[in-house]
Amino acid sequence: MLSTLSLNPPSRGLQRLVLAALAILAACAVLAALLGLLAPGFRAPPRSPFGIGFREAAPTGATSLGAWLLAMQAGFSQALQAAVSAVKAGRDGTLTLIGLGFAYGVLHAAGPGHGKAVIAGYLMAGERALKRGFTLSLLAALLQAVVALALVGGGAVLLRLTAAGLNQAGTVIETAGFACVALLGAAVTWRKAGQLARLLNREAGPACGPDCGHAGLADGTRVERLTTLREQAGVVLAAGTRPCAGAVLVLVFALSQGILWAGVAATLAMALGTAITTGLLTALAVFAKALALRLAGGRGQGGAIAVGVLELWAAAFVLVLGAGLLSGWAAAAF
Amino acid sequence: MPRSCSLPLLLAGAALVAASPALAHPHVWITTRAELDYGPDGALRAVRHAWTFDPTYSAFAVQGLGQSTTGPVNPAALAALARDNAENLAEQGYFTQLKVDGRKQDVGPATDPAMTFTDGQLTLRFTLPLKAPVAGTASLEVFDPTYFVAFSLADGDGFATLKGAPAGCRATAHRPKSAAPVPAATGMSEAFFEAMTAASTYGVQFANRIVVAC
Ligand SMILES: [Zn+2]
Repeated sequence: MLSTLSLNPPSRGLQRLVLAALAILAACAVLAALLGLLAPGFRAPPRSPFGIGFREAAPTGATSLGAWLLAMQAGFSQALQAAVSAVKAGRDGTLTLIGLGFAYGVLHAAGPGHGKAVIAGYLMAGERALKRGFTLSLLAALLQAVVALALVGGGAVLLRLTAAGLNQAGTVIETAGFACVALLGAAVTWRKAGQLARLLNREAGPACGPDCGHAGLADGTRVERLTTLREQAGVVLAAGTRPCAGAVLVLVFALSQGILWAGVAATLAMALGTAITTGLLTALAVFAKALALRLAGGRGQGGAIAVGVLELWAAAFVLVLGAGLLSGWAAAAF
Repeated sequence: MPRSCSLPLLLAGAALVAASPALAHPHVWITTRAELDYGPDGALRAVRHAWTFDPTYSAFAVQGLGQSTTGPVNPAALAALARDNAENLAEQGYFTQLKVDGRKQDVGPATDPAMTFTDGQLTLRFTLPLKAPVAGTASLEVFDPTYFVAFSLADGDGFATLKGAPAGCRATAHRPKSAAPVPAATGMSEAFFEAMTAASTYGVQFANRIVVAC
């Protein structure tokens, strides 16, 4: 395929478009396979009549692990309730509440949502610094907390919205978040397709290392850095816009008990816990990327192209994921 | 490039990790009580549900329905909420699966929706009439296949009451992973064991089932 492209070279723009399209197709195939594995039937779960604006639920295999997780979630929910009530009663439950919020964040973030797939996909596509991955995870988790606070503080306290009103606001926020994911994926896919096209057209050039795409940029590194910064802001937005339903619930419960600040404390602790789990998962993506680079290292052009293909595919995965979430098609698994 | 064949594997692995297991993620807990209503001919004609929500979701649902965030809730608003919920539940088949002698029964639409808010907990009540009343061993299950809502039967004998049922009918609760079902009343009839074995292929461990054998 690669040789056909270079034997009869089409225009650079067309080549870029074809590469992006191929990557999107490949990403579609993998996402479809994943969904088939995780959520056979491809059915998006219907919005629950008792929903809270965000689709966080997913079907599960009826396993004993599932039963255990159900029991654990129920236990956490009750413990959080009890801690809020203890704070209200004047017993010193604040530390317990913060600790519970933190632990809930760590465990609960392993479930669907919380922006893991977005951050991991982005890191596979470009950035490979561990520190960058942790920073993005932390910022996304904090944004999730801030959006939950804004939703409850603005919607429930100031506007006195009913549950139905909060649901609507939640749905709008969720849709905006999914659109951010798709836009981010589109932007990175387009950039990576351009890099790969340049790489393919320089077959006779000097053998270059894994950073070939970056070093050989005609636009210059300053522009590149700006693009990257903008993309990272996009990653935080895409991964952090949709707040955790658990955070919204604990906030509203604390509000109903007249101690909103306790809910705020629990929500922030939850965000730190969430950041740890998503950070660990994104570290795996960084590790996978580093391994790919090591495998490609010392293989000159071939290795660099392989890495370019990997990056483009990962970017396309983020795009397809965003489109899938927007259309409700992928909501079953993410 | 034979050695770069490991790349797709790596990709698939990373994607799987990123996707993470799509595990149950309930945010709403409901304790169910059911009243099974029998006609004078001994046929089951309706099921009246009473679902009590956990305090956290209850607080969310009544948000904005009172004068203040901590004040009492407006009864008219509760009645409207009950109507809305009953209407929206139709789409999910009321999370209810009713079988009589192993045959699935059509129910609904819901009637008499009502909602109460006491001690910080909401209880939603509604009646599901059977399209065609029928006599036999009834099996009633309430569950959400997406596990957004986690249902469980009320403790003790409270999970079911029988209204106008023929003499000798007994309700039994099948709770998840419970080794021995707890009979609501003493004595187990033969029909009860029949119903149990018929359902033993059902592997879902979250199942909450009420079996009424007569
Ligand atoms: Zn969550």
